[in-house]
Amino acid sequence: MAEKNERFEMQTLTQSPTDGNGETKLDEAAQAALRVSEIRYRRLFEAARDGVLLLDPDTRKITDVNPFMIELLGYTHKQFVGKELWEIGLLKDQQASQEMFHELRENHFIRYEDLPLKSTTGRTREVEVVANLYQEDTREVIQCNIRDITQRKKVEHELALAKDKISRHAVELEQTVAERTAQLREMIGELEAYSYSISHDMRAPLRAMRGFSMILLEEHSAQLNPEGIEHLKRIDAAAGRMDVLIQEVLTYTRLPHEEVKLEPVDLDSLVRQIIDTYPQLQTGGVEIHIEGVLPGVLGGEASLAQGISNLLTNAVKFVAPKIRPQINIRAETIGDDVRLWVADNGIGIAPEDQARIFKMFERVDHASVYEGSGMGLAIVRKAVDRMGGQFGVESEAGGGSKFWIQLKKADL
Amino acid sequence: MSNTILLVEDEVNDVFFMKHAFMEIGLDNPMQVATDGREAINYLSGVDKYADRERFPMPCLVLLDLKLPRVMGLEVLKWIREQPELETLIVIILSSSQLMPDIEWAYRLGANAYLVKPSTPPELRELATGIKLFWLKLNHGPPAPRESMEAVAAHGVNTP
Repeated sequence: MAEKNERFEMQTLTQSPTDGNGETKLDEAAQAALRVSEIRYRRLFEAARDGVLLLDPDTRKITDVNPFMIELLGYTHKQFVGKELWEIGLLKDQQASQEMFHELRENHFIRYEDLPLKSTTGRTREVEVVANLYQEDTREVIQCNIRDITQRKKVEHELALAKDKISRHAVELEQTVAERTAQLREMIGELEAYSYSISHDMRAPLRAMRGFSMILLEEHSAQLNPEGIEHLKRIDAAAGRMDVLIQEVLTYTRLPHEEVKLEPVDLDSLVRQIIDTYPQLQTGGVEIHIEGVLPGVLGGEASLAQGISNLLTNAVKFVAPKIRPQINIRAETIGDDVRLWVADNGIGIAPEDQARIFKMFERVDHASVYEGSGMGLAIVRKAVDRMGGQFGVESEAGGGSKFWIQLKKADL
Repeated sequence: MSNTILLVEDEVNDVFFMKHAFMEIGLDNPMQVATDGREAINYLSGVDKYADRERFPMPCLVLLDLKLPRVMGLEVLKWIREQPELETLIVIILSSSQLMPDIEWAYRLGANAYLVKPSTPPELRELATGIKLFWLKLNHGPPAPRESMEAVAAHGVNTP
């Protein structure tokens, strides 16, 4: 049958140039060219790693099949030829077959992305089918190209599984991170509540120490010698320092752990308000100069007030004896940011000490000379951090300090 | 009407300082002390020994600490406002807490004022002076609980 079919094809090719007239005689060269062409395309058909089926559009039966198709499904050439597509399992039934041929007649083209096929041995293959209906001289032929995509489908399936697994892992990971973050937050919250409560309780005995020593000083100093009075004053001063320290720990733990909600803050009026309300900035000796009108910034008013007041009271606190504290406040625009400078004529900070001063309880100077908790700058840092801003210092020992807070500029 | 002040405070030193400050500024209202929340409630409801209103008169003013053993200050405040005859009693919170939630809850539950305990006698004298001037002199307080109930009853009779 195959041979007959081949002959039939050859006839078609050799006959066509005569085109029914029978008058034109093909010369030798043309004959040879035809043979070359025939061999070339037959080789393509036979060597292809895709299945090729030729069908008769009228009978819907297979007229020829290439070796790869035979290899793919396990039918012999003989078994293929004369069968309809649904008989080899390519389409599920006769009706599907009819529909396919109908569509081919309409569009001359049909494509099935993904069809299951079973070989004679029961092996399942997945195939992609492209069918074309074309004119072959006087009659029509359907050519089906069948590509085995089993491997590709398998890889795709594995890829999908892997992707699914990865995304499931990602979800799990996110969940774990969220849970751990929540746990940590809760823990930090508990720790802060705990430290708040402890600090709070520590103030009660301190109040007693200060209270009783002051009552002794006020009401019983007649019975004390000057040394005893001096000792009492020292008890009161020490208790007072501890009270300041505890109050600043309380302030620090009260600062929000979360980001502060940012809104435009009128820096100019805030700074002037702070200067007006802090008694230590009001004493005659302190000189504060504000350069021009300070711009608006994006921040949290409470956090910003906390930070700026700490910088200002710091500037007044850390000055050499007998020096009038002088503070210069100015704003500098850096791109979209505003940098607020607070410059003082204080004792300054040596470069090697500058990293330490922002940490809790770190003090550079000697405790007996300057009152302070060592919390002041840690509070400024935490407050500025919460507003997503930056905080820094430029200073030299003995040369005054220039602290700065940098935040986003805001229109008021 | 009684001019007794009820101080609800567990810290003996703070009781001493408060009394001392009142004495120093010459405030001579009698002061009763309840050292925890339960005792404050017992005092105000007149149970056991507190039934003797000659010795333990209803106060015109309560100074209430928040951190108290047994029953916390805010619970005492809540209880006070739930008692019809104590609804108008002046309650001033005197706490060392400056936490906004404490302050907010105190007002929500009906505190008349919120004062933060100072840490030195001079500051405490200032606070005592403030209480004396504002709450005991300038302010017109509500009628004493019993008079108040009588007034309501009398008004009720007169209503057609």
